[in-house]
Amino acid sequence: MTKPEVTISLRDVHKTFEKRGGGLSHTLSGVSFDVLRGDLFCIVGPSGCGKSSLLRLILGILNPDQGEIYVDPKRRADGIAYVQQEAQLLPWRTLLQNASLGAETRGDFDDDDVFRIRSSIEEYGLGKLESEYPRTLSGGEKQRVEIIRALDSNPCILLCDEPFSAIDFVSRLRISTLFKKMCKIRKITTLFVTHNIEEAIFLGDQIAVMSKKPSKILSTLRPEKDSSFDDAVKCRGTREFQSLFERIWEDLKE
Amino acid sequence: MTKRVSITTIQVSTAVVIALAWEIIGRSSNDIFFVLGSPSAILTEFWKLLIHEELLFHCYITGSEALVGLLIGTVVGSSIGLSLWYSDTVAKVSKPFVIAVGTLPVFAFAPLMIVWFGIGFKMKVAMAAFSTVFVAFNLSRRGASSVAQGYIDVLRGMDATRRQIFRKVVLPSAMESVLASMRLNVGFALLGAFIGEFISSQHGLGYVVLRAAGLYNVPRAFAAAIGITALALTLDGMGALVEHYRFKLVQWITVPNELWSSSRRTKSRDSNR
Repeated sequence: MTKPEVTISLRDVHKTFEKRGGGLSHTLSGVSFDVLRGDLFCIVGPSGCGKSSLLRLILGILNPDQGEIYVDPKRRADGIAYVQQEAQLLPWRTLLQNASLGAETRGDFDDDDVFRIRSSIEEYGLGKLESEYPRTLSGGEKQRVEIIRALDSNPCILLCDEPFSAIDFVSRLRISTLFKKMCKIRKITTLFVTHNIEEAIFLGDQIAVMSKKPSKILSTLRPEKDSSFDDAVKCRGTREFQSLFERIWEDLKE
Repeated sequence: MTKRVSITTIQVSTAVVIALAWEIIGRSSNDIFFVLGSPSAILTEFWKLLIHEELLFHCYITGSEALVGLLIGTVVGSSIGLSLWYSDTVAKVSKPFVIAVGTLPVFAFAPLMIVWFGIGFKMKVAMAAFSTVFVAFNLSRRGASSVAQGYIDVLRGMDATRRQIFRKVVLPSAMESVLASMRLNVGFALLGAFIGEFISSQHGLGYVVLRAAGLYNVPRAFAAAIGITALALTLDGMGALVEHYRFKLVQWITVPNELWSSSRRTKSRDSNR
């Protein structure tokens, strides 16, 4: 067996922010982990533990105070996509125009792109809404557009910042099942941060538990998963799910 | 009686009372009539202007001066304002100069305008443009610098160039401010054109007012003022129309052809967009 390829790697990353009104907030304190190529890597942690900052560091929007961040340059060049907590749809563009934003920035936009984007809009059940403006869409619909947009760039690396938090519970189960399938079929290396333990258990090939500020990784799990984990509803009945939930809960409690 | 109707009633009756009082005071003596005129005299003069003195032609002249000036002022002002988004350094360096230029009363330079642009149409357009350019500059600069970071991050996540970020996010987002500045500037543009006509003119509403006042024809000056108000409302209405279709305007500028002139149209959830 060949050694698995590391796509994203963090070593002892520290980051401190200036608080509004003075003072320093030590957000990340020695975060280290490796994301293997093609893996769905979930980070679960309490609100405000610096999960979003972590993604912005990996994207290169922020720089670490200390420590090393490695992103496989070849994979990064092949495309990186970023899905934010709140769908950032441009209010002056229709749903279709928002979904195609990534294709436009890549250049050479033509009818084939329009066709491809239209079919993924259909796939996510938004076909009737393609001429709508974002303000008439629900939170879940917006988030689906955001995911269509991210996956359309055919990224090698996908960074997700609680993308499903604004979606109601029922659609959330459906979309996360679809999302996991997409990531697996396309072999996208995904880093997914969430505060939702159940979501992390369902999605993650690897699950890292993050502490409160100043944050570090408390533990990393690589659970054995059978085919029931292909479905967000079915997996909840398994014993594996229960025991993972209890383990992560124990870690987070402290 | 609904509340809306009663408010309209109060508004109308207030206007009637003021007009009546004006009429009574105006007619009370010749001296007062000479200074104030009266509503009936104003309407008579308005009618005369409209029929015999080509009021519409004067409106057209002043209106086109203001409109061309407004467009030039907006385009120049917002281009400079938006381009400052590209460089923080340039923005910071230019700040004191901008404030200095912005506080200059444009009308102090009115005589110079004659030196630079002559006494014709060009001079009035220049006056209108100069009176609007600073507001357009300031509002568009503020609009460009307050674009939501989340939108910019989306494009950064797509590895977009700075130019693309400007075109796809900053420009459309700041368009709101540019259009707002345009509507705010309608008054300034008219004022600029008007002052230009005061300095020197053969026609235009400023000319009508100036000549009426010169002949001590107060009702005629008021009648011309009605024309100016109508002109301002018309220009503002045009601005409102553009603002209403701002999404379409922005799409026309920044969205590829394939996406906005889409052949397959589905019915919109709210069709009055």
